Amino acid sequence: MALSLQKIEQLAPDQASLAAAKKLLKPSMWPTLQDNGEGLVWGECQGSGATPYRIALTEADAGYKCTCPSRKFPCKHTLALMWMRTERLAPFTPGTPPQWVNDWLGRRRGPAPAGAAPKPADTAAPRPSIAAVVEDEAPVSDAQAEGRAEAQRARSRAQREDLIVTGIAAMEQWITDQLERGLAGFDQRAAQDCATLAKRLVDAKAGGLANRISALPAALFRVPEDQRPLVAARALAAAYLIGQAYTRQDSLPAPLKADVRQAVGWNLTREALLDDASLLRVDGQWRVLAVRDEVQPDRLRRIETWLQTDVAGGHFAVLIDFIPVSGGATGNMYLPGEMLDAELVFYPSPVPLRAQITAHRSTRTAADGWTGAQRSLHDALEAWRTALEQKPWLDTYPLAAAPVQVRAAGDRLYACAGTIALPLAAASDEAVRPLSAVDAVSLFGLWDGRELIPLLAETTLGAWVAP
Amino acid sequence: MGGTLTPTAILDALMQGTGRRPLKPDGVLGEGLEAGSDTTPARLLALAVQALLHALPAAPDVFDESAAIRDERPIVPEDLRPLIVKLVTGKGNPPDDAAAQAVAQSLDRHGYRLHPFDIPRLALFARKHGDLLGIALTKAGEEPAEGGWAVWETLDATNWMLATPARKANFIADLRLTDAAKARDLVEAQLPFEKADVRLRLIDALGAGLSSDDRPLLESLAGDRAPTVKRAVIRLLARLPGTGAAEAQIAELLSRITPGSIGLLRKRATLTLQMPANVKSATAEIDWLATSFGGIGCTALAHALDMTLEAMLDAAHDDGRLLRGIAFSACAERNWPILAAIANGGLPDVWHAFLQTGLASFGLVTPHERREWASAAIPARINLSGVDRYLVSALHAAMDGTLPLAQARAVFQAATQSRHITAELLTAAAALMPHGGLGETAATLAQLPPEAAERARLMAHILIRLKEGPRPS
Repeated sequence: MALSLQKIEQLAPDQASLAAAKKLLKPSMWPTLQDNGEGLVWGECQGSGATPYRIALTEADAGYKCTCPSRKFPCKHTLALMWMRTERLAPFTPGTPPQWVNDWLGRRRGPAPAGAAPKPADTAAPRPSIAAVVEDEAPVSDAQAEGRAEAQRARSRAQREDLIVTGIAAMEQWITDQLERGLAGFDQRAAQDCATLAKRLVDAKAGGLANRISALPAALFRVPEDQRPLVAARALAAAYLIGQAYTRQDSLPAPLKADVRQAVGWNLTREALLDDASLLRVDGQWRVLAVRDEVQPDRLRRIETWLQTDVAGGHFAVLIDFIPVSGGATGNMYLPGEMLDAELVFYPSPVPLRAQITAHRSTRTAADGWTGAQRSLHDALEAWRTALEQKPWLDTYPLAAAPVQVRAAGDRLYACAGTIALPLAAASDEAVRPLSAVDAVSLFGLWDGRELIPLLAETTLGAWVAP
Repeated sequence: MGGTLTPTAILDALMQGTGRRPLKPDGVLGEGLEAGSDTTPARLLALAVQALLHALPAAPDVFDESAAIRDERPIVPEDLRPLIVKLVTGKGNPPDDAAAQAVAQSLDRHGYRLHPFDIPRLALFARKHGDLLGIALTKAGEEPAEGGWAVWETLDATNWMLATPARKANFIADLRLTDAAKARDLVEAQLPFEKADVRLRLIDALGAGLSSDDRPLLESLAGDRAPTVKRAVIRLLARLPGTGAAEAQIAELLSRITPGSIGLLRKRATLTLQMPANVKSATAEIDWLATSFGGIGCTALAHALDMTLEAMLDAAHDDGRLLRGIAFSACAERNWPILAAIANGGLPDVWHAFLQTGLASFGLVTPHERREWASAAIPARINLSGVDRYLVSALHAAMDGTLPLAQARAVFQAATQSRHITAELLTAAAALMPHGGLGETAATLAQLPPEAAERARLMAHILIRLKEGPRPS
């Protein structure tokens, strides 16, 4: 059965979803709208996340898939795509399905049997109706109320500043206590002690610092026992530096001040980012180099999409999305080798890496391999040293270098060039080992000063992508 | 603590704890701090960590010399890499079922190797089929297995002993068909160095082209310390005339076979087999028949009964057990016409019984012999009622490859018409299909429910593409 407005009304989980979908019917919000001429339609919609959501649907049986974390099925993005398709509200470019659409088709079990269709919970309740969707009325401006609200927000901000400073003082005392007891046995008491401090920092509304501290026990137990004291030392030193910088933020340069406020827990909304004309913006063709996906202690999946463009000296960028683990969504995974034609705006920082898409024109699969590693390993490390000087609590930094040789010494692997040998992350060992059999590679990875997490390599045998 | 502190010295002190080892620096990092500046342990920690970060981790003095792995086989076509990964990894995609084995065999047959970058992801698959894929997986830091033989090299009398057990056995079995004496000499020289499981494979391989010339060697091996090897030797000896073992076995069977006759107007000779009283279950019955009849030839049995082969078959027609036993003895003698007569006559499901004991019990070790057995034992029309996923999977495991086309079509058709179509059944049935029938198999699978046919369809697509070879870019 072909799509129709009536079908969309039947599928919509509630009236609010239809209303939300209607707001997405602007073609400018859809950098990609394509079909294969045989009833398979797909598109990308810029939502509130860093990366656009990807939606695919089959017209014949109204099958659909969206990468957004919504728990409504179908979500507003899917409803909007169906709506646009039905009403032909935007042109759909003919094309061959990209890999992410094929992956979905491969996993699909096909349409559910007619009897298995979910029934409305309450048949007496009114069904969602497109006709009933009303336009939002423009909010009535009330200068007095707005002034009161702004004053309230200012008071809240001031209270939070005080709370954070108190929390940082508690954290510094905690670090001093830990150093008094010694870092050698820190791993044994980390789980309990870090949880206690993290709660204290949450109460102090310093969520960024709380996340750092609560992630520390897991980070310790990921490394061999003999390395744990040093890992703990680095983490505590970074937390101390952030705390110190925050308490002296008024004397810091603007980008560093903005960075440290984000590190402590002040969020910068997407709207604020887009509105700030002073921030770094880079427009061009962005290649997806790698996608990292990890679950944080706060039960959020953190998805990092690392990009590089050929303009601005091969600028790197990372789009970071957070998805609730409980939602079970697969997340919005771009695939290494895809190209985004987009403009990115970077979060303020002396080392601007995290970004948001401001204008997304299209996504396509790259026709050629990655050739972005124009630096030697020595020069790439120099860039990291500069970045570390500018931002002393820098966690990981993108390194792209060529030529690099992967060599083994005992049970560890190293990325080598000349006299430099960077240890590769032990967790990547099994996957990386085949690289030691090829001569020289162009390597992209994340360097944290202790080990390099390899993510992409271009070799004579083709591209190697971290699993 | 006094004097200038280095970052390492600071961290050493902080490891022990400032409670035990107070930090009282006169200077930090060799440069000194401003008078009155903050020298709290936390600040010293931050400074020391920053200093250590700028100094890169120490490089090892010596790197392992990586022995360049020479593998002259072409890498699997690029478009097949994700398909193979999809077939044998992830939930519900076992690395060791019929589909995985068929792909491994096809890679071997067409001389392909896996892409080195895929091997970590395909580690389980590579480990299960290392014999076919030519991959010896070693853990980090472990020395690779010794031996100068590589999977792509042709085996000969000088290097065959370095190959994997399956390849050794196949080499000997093939050589037996062209130069039985040379193969025997090679086995005799190598046996003392092999473990029991390899000895068993090599003894079974001697079953190809068996002759009385092998008798001295087999008699010398009859006392092997491994029971499995000993049984295999006795089985081969029983196939040789004049060893005494076969005669004794025939005499024992004659005491259990009762001649008789039926019919009023036209008398017809009958033969009835009396089973031992302690053999009760169906499984035990098949095992006893295989042991008793699998070591003798059917011609010798007919001779002992003073009948022609045809007359013996006719007389045993009404006794399914005896007919099954005669089928085993026909297989032991490689008398395929007699086995085919039984399968197409009174016992079309006789191949089920062979699968219970395993084809190796009858010395069917080479692909050629297994295909000859299949041509004879599996009729072109199969009784649908007996075909299920267990039986077809067992057939695939026993064949260790494909069936002849006619038999493969029959099995596949029976599988598609089964009342309980499952992914495992269709996959095993499709994996038995030789290349000539894969196109029609893929077309049939496309018509079946995807949840049952998807895996088999993917496997068929991979097998067809492996045969086609790389596509021009």
